Amino acid sequence: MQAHEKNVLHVEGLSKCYGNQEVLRNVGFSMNRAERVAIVGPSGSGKSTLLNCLAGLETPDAGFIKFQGRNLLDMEDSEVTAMRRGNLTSVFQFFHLLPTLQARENVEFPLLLEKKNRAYRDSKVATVLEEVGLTHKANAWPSQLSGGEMQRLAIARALISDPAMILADEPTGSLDQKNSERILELLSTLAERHGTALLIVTHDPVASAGCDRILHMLDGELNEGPVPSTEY
Amino acid sequence: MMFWSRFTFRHVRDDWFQTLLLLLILGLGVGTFLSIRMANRAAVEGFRLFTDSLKGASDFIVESKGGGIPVSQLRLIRDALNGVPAELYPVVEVPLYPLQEGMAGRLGNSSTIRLLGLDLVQLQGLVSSFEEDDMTAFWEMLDKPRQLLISETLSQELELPEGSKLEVSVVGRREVFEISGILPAFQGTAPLPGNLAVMDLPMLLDCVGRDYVDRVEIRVPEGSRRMQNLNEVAHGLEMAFGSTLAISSAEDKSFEGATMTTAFRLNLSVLSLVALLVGLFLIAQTLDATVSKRRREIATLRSLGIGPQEIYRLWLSEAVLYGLGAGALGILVGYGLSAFTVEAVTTTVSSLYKETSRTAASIYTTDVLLSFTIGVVGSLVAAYLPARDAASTPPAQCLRLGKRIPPFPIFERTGIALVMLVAGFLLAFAPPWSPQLGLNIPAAGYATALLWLSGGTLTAASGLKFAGWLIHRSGGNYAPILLAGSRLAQPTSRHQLALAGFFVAIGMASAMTFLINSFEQTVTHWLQQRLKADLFISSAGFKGSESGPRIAGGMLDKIEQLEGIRAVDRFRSQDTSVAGIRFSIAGVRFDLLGTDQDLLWLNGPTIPSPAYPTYDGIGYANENFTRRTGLGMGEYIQVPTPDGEKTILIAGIHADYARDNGLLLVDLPLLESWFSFNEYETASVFLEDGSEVDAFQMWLRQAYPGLNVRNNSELMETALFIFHQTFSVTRALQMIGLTVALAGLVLSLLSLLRESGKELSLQRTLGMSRHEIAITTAVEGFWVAFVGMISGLLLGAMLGIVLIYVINRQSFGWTLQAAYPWKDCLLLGLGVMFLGLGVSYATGRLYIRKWRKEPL
Repeated sequence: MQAHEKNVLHVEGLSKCYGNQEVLRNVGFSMNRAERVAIVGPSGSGKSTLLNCLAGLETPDAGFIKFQGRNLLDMEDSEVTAMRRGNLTSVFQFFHLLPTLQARENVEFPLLLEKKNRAYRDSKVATVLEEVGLTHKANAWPSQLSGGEMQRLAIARALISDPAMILADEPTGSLDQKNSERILELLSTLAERHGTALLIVTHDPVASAGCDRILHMLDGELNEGPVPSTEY
Repeated sequence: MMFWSRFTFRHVRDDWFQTLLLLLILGLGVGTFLSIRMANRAAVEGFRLFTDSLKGASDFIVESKGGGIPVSQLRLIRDALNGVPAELYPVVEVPLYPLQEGMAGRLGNSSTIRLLGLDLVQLQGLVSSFEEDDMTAFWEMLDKPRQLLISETLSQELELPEGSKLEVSVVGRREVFEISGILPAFQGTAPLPGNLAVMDLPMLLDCVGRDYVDRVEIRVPEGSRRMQNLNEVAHGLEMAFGSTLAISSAEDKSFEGATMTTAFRLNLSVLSLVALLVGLFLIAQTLDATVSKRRREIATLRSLGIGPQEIYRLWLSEAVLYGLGAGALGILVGYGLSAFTVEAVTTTVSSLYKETSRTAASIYTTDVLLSFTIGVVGSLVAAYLPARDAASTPPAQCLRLGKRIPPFPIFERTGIALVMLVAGFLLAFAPPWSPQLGLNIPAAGYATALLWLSGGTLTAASGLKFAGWLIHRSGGNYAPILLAGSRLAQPTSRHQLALAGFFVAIGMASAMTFLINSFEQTVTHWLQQRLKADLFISSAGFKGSESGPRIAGGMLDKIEQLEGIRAVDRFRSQDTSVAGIRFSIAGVRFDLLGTDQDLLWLNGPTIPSPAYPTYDGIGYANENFTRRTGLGMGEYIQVPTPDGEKTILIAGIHADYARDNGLLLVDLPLLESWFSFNEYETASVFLEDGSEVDAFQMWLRQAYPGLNVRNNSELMETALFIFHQTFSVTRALQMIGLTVALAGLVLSLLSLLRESGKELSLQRTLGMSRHEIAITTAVEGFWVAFVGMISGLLLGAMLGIVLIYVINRQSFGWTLQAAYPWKDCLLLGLGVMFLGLGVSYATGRLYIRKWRKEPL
């Protein structure tokens, strides 16, 4: 496999200011297919802003983001939207399921946006629900699920379109330790199985333990290397 | 205070567009009600005697019980006062219709000038106030015929300075008058009506060829013996003329006009509340949205020790703020709309009931207070449910995406809805409330409408859930439809309240359309039955009321003699009362009935046996007469006439849609012999076979420029034009109601979009395009409009039945054939659906364009 085919994401010189406050300072890093990277940093260090920029939901003031060889900042809104549907999906701290849709509909939703046919959708939904162990909860409403189940459902939704990369923002932030461990293991295993790059943003150094690489973010600057535990 | 201002004002400031839109909608609702109130009052004030403005209110009004008071009788009236120092003012009142092109248009819809004939020598003070030292000019004016004094408003509107000429139709004749002076404004009396002209009494009697006056007004001067003098005058008049003349006070005359139009004005006032009612749903919806949006903030406040009562008061205080704003805007809107409503209402009253003067709309302190009261009280009622919901927020509530707050529990109570619907149905059979003789208020009918509106609102809420469930189940292949359906299947209170607004507006609008359509069909059928003559003649400016311009009898005599005319039927009505119940007695030629003329019979006619002539004549009553008097077929009524009391046998009951007061038709020659008429309201002309109608019409028009000569189709067209004009206010109120409902939909969708900030962020993150989000909004809005439309049309059909068979019949006494306006309702439905879809898509699209992502 060529180097450029292995590379999924390449970020360089990324800066972002809110008024006088510089939130991202010359951020740069790269990720390869199936690689698991953790960005660890305290609250307010710029992690979420970085994630929003990577998802194409916010525009940086400077720098570029190359996703699968294309600069995100040069894309039309419709192209970025299409990319979020199938290639670059997200998992959140508060799960963010659509409250009026049943569990299976929440998972199916990205495929509906991609206009996949019913047979494909049904088979795919059944597969990912089985992978996250929620087949028996397919017809449940989000309000009927526990925190751990909701996050498993959110992971299933993120995986259903076989994305090139998953952005996970504090995926264990709302869970207890036991559930956190299960979710991290599930995310890790499934990402590996699907060949998906996984970028986890967290303030919890424990959550980053299983990752291939750990990046440290402080005051908008990103550095590679071990994280001093006293920082958080 | 600081807590209140920070918590409430901040929200109002942040959502300024929504706040402004809400205030505009509410202001429109309050203003509509206020403008109708002002128009109703202007119409009633217009019944005030025109003479009041010139000489102050009279103590007694003496009128003939039929026809006028002969001039020769004036001395007898003076004698009956037994030397009490009272002033007598004989009055003649004649409508004038300007014949110069465009002049009538400048007078507005009422289009006639009210000419008063007064004894100007007696009223010298009035004249000298503007003639000052030049009394010579005054005496010269009295010597010249056709000299008019006109009000300043009239002078300005018709651009008639002193010395200019005015060409008018008077009792069907073309006459030219000279303006000899402008009436000054008088202090201490009622303002001069805008369309007032005054002429010396003898000159006017000569001009119209009368030897009688319409009334004599009597005024007892101030002084220590005034009360005693008043009693003596009343006693003297009663003793001398109690059986032949009607003696009343000026207040009685104004009250009579007000009573006559009570039902009409009440119905209009009720209808004007539609926009306000829809607006109140929007207040509830807006406040509910703020509860939903600030739920966490409320929970925080509760955890900081703020009690539920304080939260409750906080929301009510916000409602008071909206109410005050709406009240202030309502005054402005009401004043602005009153220009239209006053004109429309006075026109309807003039053509349907009694000629009323044109009075400018004026705002009183009570209107200002009422405007604020309606705004504030209405807002507080609307705020009750959201305020209670806010107060019940537990201190520890922390919402996350995935938890949805159910709608108000009342929307889930279908049992209450069913009870309301059944109770409304039963009340529809209750009799009307009769607070005074001859006046029926359909109180139970209104209660039915209110119960069906309330019960229907709750039932429609279930309909929205069902529709949402269906869309959710069937829309599985397209993400925006699936999402919109799922949201509708679990609607928020905002959805339900937006739907309620639509439901009420469409229900009321389609019910009114149903009523108007039934009315139109029935009236058209009635007109086809009634209008069988070749030509119809009336005085120029005649609008339909018996106090409008008339045609001189001599003129009709001449027309009747013309070659080619087979018969002329004349119509003349006379206001009268029996046992305190007012109605009209009118004459038509019975010999033409059944051959040339016809009535729309509801009962009869029977031919009474000539063997029992215990009556002076037979009469055909309209259904309103039977409703007011309680008399039916075969019963007798004794009617006072100048020729003594006459007994009339009711031999038939007919439909009559030209008036909502009682009418008793008797044979014209008989009526003429009793009342000695020499003026008529209308005449129907029947030509010999083979005569050319158009040529005859042309000739009559040229020979008699003061007359309106219409052929059959023109009269039908004019009658239907007047009919449509009568309902112009109703149609305007319908449009306002629908506009408010559509604006309410925008407001609801904006609220839903605003509170869905995080959900929108999620949808964008999941890959939904802006277009798809706008489609989701459009589908939601469309279905709210669609369910509102379907349930509203159903409600409209039910309310229409109540309007036709209960409210209309009890208020006006008209039997209408129900005719559902399929085409109009289909167009209304399609219009609302497409507008709902368009407005919803545009709202979603515009909102999402400006939308900024919220952190997830």
